[in-house]
Amino acid sequence: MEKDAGGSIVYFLSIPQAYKNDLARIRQWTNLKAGFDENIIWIRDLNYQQVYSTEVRSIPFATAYYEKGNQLYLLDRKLPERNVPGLLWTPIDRALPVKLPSLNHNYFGIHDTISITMVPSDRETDAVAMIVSLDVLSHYIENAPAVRLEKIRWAVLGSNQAFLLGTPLLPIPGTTVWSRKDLLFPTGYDFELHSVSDVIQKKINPGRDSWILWDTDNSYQLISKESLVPLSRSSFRVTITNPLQQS
Amino acid sequence: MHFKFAMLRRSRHLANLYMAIDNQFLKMIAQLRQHEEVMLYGNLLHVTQPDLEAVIHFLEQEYNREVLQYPSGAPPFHAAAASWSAQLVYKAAQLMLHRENKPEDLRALLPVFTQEQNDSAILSADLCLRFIPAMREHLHVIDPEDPLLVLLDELLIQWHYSGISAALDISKLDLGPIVSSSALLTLYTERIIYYRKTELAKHPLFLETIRASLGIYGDTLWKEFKDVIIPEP
Repeated sequence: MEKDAGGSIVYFLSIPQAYKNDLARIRQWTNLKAGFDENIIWIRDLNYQQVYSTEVRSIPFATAYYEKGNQLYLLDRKLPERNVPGLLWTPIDRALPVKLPSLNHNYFGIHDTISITMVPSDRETDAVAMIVSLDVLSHYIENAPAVRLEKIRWAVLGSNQAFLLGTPLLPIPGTTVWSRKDLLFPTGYDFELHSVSDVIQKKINPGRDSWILWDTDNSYQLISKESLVPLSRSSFRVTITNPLQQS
Repeated sequence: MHFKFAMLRRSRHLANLYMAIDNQFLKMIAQLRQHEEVMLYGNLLHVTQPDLEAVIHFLEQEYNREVLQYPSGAPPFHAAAASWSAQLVYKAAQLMLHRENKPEDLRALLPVFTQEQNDSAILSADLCLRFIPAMREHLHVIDPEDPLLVLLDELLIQWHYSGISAALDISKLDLGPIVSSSALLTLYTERIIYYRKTELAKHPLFLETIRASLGIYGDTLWKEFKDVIIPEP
């Protein structure tokens, strides 16, 4: 993260107790610490970027200070305003716990459903597996170095595709896949609501004995973990020439 | 005699199939191939023709199973080389245990391979010769000055594809037959990587093939290789 010129200036924030809920939007910054004075909540350890960020500047009734020599100065002022308060500092996510609203007996939306959709995601992830066509794989594997194959486990998908799990990926064209636990997504895609991953994982795959391979059209297929076998030239040749032996 | 060799693990689904047969030579070779251990069933240096044919048949089946694992362009089975190597391993094992001859006569007891050493012969002979380095180690533990050791070392220098796991003097190796077959060159490279033999990897002949095998993943697949070989600019 970019540092301020001084490198070590620490910023403080104070806000009256009454506006405590406005701190919700900066609660996610885990480097912050909070302390409770009588009527004021103090936040310390903000950095330069944070103190000038939209999140902080849009908190009403908050006052920002910078600290020098154990004294607090208002931003852009040269005269000290007060001393650093001597408080018990706790990490902000523990100091301001999230409370669930009490049960709403008048809520009738319990039959609502959400649909699972895949959307392009700009989060960078490492590919752990790939799906290639059997033709491409058979061309590669005939003269592939064994050291590249032995890290890979594989299974045949449908009639003409192979699923290759393991890195380093093979240098052949195919669809790459990344994983969140046992869910596998095409690279560049994620659930629109990615927090439902755990629920889906438990619902589809309670024993965690399968990989759940999602496609961009929101469909999925299960690949039993036991059905994956180490990839080798002989494994590939035996599978292709005697497809019935697989079962 | 009962040795366990930890090398080139393979499936054991044919185990015991050959154990019921009254052919000590075949029993020993099958035990070696399937359990990677030497079992001798008596002191018999002489091998009869039907016994030998049974062993060749067994080795041909083994070869055909291994060819599945070879890169494309693998050569056909070489019966003479397989037969020679099986007898050699059998007799060398016998000589490790029962030694009634003078040291000078040892050389005459081991069979000699008279045909051309091509890729087919190298791969077929390797079915049995790959166990020689482990046998050599055991012999070295028993007696480091055994004259049989010298003979086995000479053999490994000549059939060095089977001797990659042993520390051979690289300057003495004849790499001609290796280069002439692309399948054998690939297998040779794979065995160098499998045994992590940096000395062989430094040889200009293998440097490029190993580099091509590892690609940009040298760090994860074989860390020492990068440290030993001068990195490309």
